[in-house]
Amino acid sequence: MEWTSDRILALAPDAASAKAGRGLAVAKPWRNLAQSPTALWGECQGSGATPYQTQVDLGEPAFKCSCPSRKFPCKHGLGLMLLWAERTAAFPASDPPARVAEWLARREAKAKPREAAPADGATLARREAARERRTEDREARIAEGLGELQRWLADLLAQGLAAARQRPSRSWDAMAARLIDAQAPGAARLVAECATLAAAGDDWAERLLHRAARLHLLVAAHRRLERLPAPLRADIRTTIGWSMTEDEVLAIGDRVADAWSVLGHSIEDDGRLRAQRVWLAGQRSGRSALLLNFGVRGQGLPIAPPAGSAFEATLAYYPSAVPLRALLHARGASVPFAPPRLANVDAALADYAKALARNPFLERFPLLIDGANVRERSGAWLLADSSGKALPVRRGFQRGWEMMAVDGGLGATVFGEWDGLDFRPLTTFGTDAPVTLAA
Amino acid sequence: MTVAPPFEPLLSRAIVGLDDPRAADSVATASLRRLAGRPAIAVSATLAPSDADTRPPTSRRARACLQTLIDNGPEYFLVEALRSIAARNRRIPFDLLPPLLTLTKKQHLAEPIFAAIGQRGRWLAERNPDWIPRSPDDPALWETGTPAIRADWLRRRRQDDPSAGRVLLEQGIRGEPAGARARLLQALEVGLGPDDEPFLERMLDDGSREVRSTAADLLASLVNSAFVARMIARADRCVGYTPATGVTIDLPEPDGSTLRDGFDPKDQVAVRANGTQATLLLHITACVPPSHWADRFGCAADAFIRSCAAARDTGKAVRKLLDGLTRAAIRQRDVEWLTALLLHSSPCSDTSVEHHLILQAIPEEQRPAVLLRMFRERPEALDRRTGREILSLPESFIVAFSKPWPDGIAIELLPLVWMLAAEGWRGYADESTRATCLVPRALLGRAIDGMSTAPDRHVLVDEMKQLLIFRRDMLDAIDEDA
Repeated sequence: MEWTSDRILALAPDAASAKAGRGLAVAKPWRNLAQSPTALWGECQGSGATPYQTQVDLGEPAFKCSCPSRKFPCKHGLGLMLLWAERTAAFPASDPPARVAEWLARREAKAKPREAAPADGATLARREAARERRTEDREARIAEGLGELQRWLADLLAQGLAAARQRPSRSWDAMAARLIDAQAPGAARLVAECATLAAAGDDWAERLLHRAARLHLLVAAHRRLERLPAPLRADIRTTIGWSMTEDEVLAIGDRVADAWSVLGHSIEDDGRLRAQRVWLAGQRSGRSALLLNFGVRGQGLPIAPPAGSAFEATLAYYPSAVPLRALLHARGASVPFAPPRLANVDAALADYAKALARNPFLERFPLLIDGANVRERSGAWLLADSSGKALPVRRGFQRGWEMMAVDGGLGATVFGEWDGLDFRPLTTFGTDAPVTLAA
Repeated sequence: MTVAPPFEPLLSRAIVGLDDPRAADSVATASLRRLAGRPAIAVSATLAPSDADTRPPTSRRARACLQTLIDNGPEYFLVEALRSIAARNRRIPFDLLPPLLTLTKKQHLAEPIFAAIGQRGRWLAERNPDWIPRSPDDPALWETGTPAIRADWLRRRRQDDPSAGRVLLEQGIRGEPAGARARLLQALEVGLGPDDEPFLERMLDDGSREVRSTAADLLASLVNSAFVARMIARADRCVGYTPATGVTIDLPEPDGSTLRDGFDPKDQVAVRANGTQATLLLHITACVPPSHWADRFGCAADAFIRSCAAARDTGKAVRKLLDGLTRAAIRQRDVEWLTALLLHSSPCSDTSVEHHLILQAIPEEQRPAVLLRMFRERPEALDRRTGREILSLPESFIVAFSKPWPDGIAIELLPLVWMLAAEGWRGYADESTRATCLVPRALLGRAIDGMSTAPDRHVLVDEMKQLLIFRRDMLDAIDEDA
């Protein structure tokens, strides 16, 4: 893949890092710049006496730097890569020095396909027994917590949403904390977010009612969990907050080998945890996939492949009635990008309705709208297709004018997430390189 | 499966409270039905689309440069990049149009931005009230603009039709506060002509000193005006010259008429430093066209200036005369006198005007010749230690160009740039940036190499070198095909 400045800057963990990285994309602070076909390296003179040793593996890409920054990639990594993209001639070809070669070798070893760790029969049986005990214990706590949630919900609906809106935010937090104690963190999050929904704009009541509905459905579904089909059961457990280990997913998940086109990505930051979502579309299978990664703030997120790129890979899907989330099992070579099947607004909404019918707990659904153009209507944005059907764009979306510049009223292909109420644009594909709309 | 109740009525009831114990089940089904069945919003199918822009796009390197300039400047480079892109008929990547249009709030960026953004950019600008190009000629601006905008509007009006502009000003100026009156009056410098004299003469009776001084300043440019005739009469009483005796000065006395003619005896700084009479001499001589002295004394500019310079140590009066001559030469853009002042006097110590104005008063195409002569005949001007005597700000001479230095002078200026960078340019970061913009493209490599070898490097050497490299790469990138 060709690395452009935009694509590189899209790797930045936040705007400050992007700006700092851009500031380092000049030759001045760098010494001993060089490149091999798969990597770049150099030394950046910072404020300290010892220059930082920075290296980039161009494959994924991956970064390593001796600086103490908690950002990842750090500004040095970004600066080095930007400088390379803009002035390749400044990087003479060379064999990697030992520190770089060792790192690349370690990375290559790690890139081998992951498989569930083997274990002998007795160990497995012992583990299984312990796991079952823990599971039973947790099931009991969850049932109790959801029972409380049901009474709390009944109370909320009886008192009315207007009264609920007046509550101090700690009253939501108290129920959420109770669910954390009950080891149902997923349900806890759905409750905690009510405080934000209640404070939202004009449609706060509708949003709050949908959330109450989802929580009620969760309680009701959990009561008859055993009678539901396995994939839906998995969705309910996920929504409650059960997690699966990667080994479990690899053991039971559907594996799909395909050429995956990257449609878009986003990072959500709640102050403590950062969630990175990368949406993919299989070129041969036509399937959608979501790679989800979490990182503690300021560090630890892998590099999202840029929108408009594509790579061969085998994914392992998490079990679900609408399988979207997947694990990257084995990644292969980069391939040319090819957009998946395009839809207009009506067809996209019909796809969503079908998916919601299969998994009523679906939180966000990928939509790719063809011939799309944005309109501004009383301070809010709409995304319309060529037939005059439009979706409301998420409130507070800041980059409508860039989308309009790209579509020119003529139409662009826009990718984003739909949550049943509004659309969050993530990428617009126009005449020029794809534009990433959410960091 | 129960049939879901309609969502809207349920929502209205839920806001005040649902007392039915089975309400939660209804809410759950109604919510899902609503989410799954929510229809798309109908909008008009067609939005007047932008015309296709078939120009080839800029290269990705050029795009990266443009992005950097939009985020971080410097604006000089952004303007040059935009002009080069427009000149090469390239298309700016569409998603960069909104951040560029946001910059059109800055008046000096608006013109190059609108010239470069093409069909798509103009189409976009029409859709955002903040970006709609306000024609600077919009009559509404004269009615509603700030004093600065109104003055700018009046200047444009004067360019097209000086007398219409003056008539508008005459009608409106009485009601304005003093500061705005002076500012608007100053706009008459555009298209100034004999027709403006009666109005300006009336403005000498204005209550505000600032307004009177502005009117006097403008009248001084009208060489055939009654005002200039009065000044010449006063000057002739003060200044004498023969080749044998040199220049002689008889200091003038202020009276009511000098007050009306824009002299300010209460100008604390000037009067305290030089005394009332010397300050008045400066005021008078600054209003006399320098050619008057040549006519009156039958001597060339050179001889007269040399004589003044020779006597400069005899007292303040001669220095004030030199100061007045400098101001008058700038006002009349008299190249002969300006050159003589540069070559034979020490304008930096003898005049209180900003020094770059001296060079800027010389038409741009004649500046290189004057500079070259100065470097040849007064090489000490290039030496910062002694040069300060002649040009207290050589850096301001370097930047006194609106486009890259012409060929002949550029080579001469480069060593000066290196030297100034090595000394840190006395902290004028903006001027040092502008200097990097004035190096002709063909000499960029040489300018960069020269920076590398500068001894005793100041941090500015590296900064300017980076700027020069950026600029060279930027211009190359704009030439590249995508």
